[in-house]
Amino acid sequence: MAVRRRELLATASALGGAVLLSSPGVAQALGRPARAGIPDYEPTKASLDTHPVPRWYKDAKFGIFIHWGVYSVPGGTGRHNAAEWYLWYQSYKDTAEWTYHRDTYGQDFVYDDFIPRFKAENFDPDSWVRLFERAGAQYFVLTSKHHDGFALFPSEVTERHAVAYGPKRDLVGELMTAARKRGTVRPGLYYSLGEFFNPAIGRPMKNFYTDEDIPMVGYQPVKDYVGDYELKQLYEIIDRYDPELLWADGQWFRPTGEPPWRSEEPMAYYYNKAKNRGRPMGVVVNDRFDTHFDFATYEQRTNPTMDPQKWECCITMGYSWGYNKHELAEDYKTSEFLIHLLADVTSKNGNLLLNIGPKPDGTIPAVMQQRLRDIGAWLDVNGPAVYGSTPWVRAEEEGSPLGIRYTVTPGKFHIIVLGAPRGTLSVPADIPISATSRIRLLGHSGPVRWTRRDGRIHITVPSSLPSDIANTFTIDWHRG
Amino acid sequence: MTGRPAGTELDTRGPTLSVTTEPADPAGGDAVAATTVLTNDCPFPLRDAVLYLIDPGATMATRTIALGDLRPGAKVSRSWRTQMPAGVAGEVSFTAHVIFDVSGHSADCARSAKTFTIPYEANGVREPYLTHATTDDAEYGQYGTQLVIWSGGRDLSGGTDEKGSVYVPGGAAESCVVQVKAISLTGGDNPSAKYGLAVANDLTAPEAGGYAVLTMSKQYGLEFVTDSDGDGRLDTWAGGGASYHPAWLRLVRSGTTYTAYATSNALKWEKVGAATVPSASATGDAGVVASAVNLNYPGTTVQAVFDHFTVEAT
Repeated sequence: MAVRRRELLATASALGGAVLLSSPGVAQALGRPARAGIPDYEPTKASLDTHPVPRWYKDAKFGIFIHWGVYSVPGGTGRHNAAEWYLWYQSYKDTAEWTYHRDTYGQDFVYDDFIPRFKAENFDPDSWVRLFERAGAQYFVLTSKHHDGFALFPSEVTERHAVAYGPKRDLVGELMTAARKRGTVRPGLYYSLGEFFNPAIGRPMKNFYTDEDIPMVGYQPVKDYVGDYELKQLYEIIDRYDPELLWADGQWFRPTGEPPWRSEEPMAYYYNKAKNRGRPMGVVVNDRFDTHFDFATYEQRTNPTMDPQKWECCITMGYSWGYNKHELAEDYKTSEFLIHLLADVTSKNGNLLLNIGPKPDGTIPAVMQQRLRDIGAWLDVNGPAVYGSTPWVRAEEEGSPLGIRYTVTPGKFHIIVLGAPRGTLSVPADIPISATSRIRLLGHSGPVRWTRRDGRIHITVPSSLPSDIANTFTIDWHRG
Repeated sequence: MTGRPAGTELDTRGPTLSVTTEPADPAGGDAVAATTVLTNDCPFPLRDAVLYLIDPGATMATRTIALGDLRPGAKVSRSWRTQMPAGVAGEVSFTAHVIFDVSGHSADCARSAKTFTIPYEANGVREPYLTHATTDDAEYGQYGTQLVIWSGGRDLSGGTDEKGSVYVPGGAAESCVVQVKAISLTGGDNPSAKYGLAVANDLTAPEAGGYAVLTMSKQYGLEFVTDSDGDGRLDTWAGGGASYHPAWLRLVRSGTTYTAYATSNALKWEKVGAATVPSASATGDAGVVASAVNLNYPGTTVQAVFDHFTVEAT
């Protein structure tokens, strides 16, 4: 099904006030009036490097990553398999994935045959946003297009998208609109610059059992993958959805000849568009555009040390980013670990972007919902030590029996204990505390007794603790 | 949404913070004048700013200075005179860290450091540590809480036990937790070179029983090897996976049962394996070990650096 521009605009207008109906194009990147005192960004790395990390992103600490697409239909090939890479793994003859696909679906069933089964029939964007709110997340990042090239938004440069095929819905638009309607969780979009297979990249889609080139559903021929397709899609999502965060990926799947991605052009446009409006918006980009970035990405790992450059740990709950139906309950990280990770990342100037992989019908697996609710319950009590915080002079007490992490918020110093301490908690006496300081335990009424002895601060731990997972002792800190 | 600002008026690249030293490249023991300069490039004041100055090798600040509110454009310079510590090595820094409030909902910080790399030297270890080698080229160092071993050795597995070790005699009680942060393993070419924890009834005589070793190899992941029959040979094995450095290693002893754990982040301890060592006596030695595993790389040695070695009775 073709989607012409008129239909695109109709779709967009149905999304309400959140949608900007300007047409995409490089021309818009320049020539707009600069807001007083802030010159427009130029499409050069040097100019883009002057862009600040927005305050909201520094304060947010916790976001939700959403990997959802056609790959959610097969749902992986095994327990420890990255489901969103199904197409790529399947392309290697005699691998477990190649064999799995042949034995499960038959060799005449190609990857794109999954598209009609991607229906999103139970997708309820409002319930997603409410869940993110309940988790205490401050932003989310949805895969608008992953490496398989199937976009969850309508596009003028291809018909390989969710309005033309599969769900027949603008999944990106619906979620962005739901987020803006509630105004509680900031919307961000992931976009894969490269793709596993695409004729314009020099890797046509194949039947991996016959090695025949096959048509790619929705593909419209272009001469220049970057200029005629990738950049235009970036402008489309910037213009249509006005995301507050752009998260690039797949930059290693370069077109033949490895031309530059030219990301400076849409990035300058994105920054200028965000600031040149009546009420400017702070926007932020990750470090996979092959040029300037606002924050560094730590995928499936953490930064072991405090880093003054803002960074983000993105991590899966199980093994896979996309929905993997083969994962077992024990494959999911515990709520305890995820909460400890959030405290650790926060203490070191990072954000935690925790992934969920919805099912092809748009429902979020129960185990993932439970993890998010657990984190939210902990943040309900301990959020004052997380949101808007900054690292203290050292992030942690290495080697302590229970992990200890420190954070600072206006007028407060926080000791987050990873676990449930018993009896007395002892920390070095260089923490900011004076003889008249009061220590409180978040979630516990009344002050907590403490003494200074032998060069350490000894805190008497109440017999009943708010959490078995992590507890926060807070000190009023008058810095004068 | 917590602390959502009205717009972008608080979005800035933050203040500029720098650290310089005189002399520019000090050696251990040198008198040093360190200077930090903080400039508020933000279009708003930095509220309730506190500046921390930290000496090389220190975890606690040498000086803490309350700066109050710093208006836009304000420039603050602070110097501190100190001595380049003789007892530090590795990557060490003169560091400045400033904390300030941006609004009633947001705090922020800036951090700057002038970093030096000081080579480790074999300065020996101090009480309560002892050393023992089954190679003839082992040397040892101690820098604060860091322990360093230089060692050759053909192998540390099966019946070949060639290593350098630093240990606490009688440290391993019948129920105890032995833990260390294995920081780096450098030198030598062998991807099988290893460093980690060891416990035994007598680490100078593994044949006396109770012997277990948990190591991270240079490239081939974890190894947990034990002596199942008290003859001093490491005849059980568990482990594998990819190597990572630093690595936190933990051996939990409960009577004659040893359980090995490891983690890269001290948040989630992954079980490496468990083994029964029937020959383990009531108390034993606990320490850190390193071996170049140089059977196929003759003459090579490794430098293993550890921190936060602890033995705690449970």
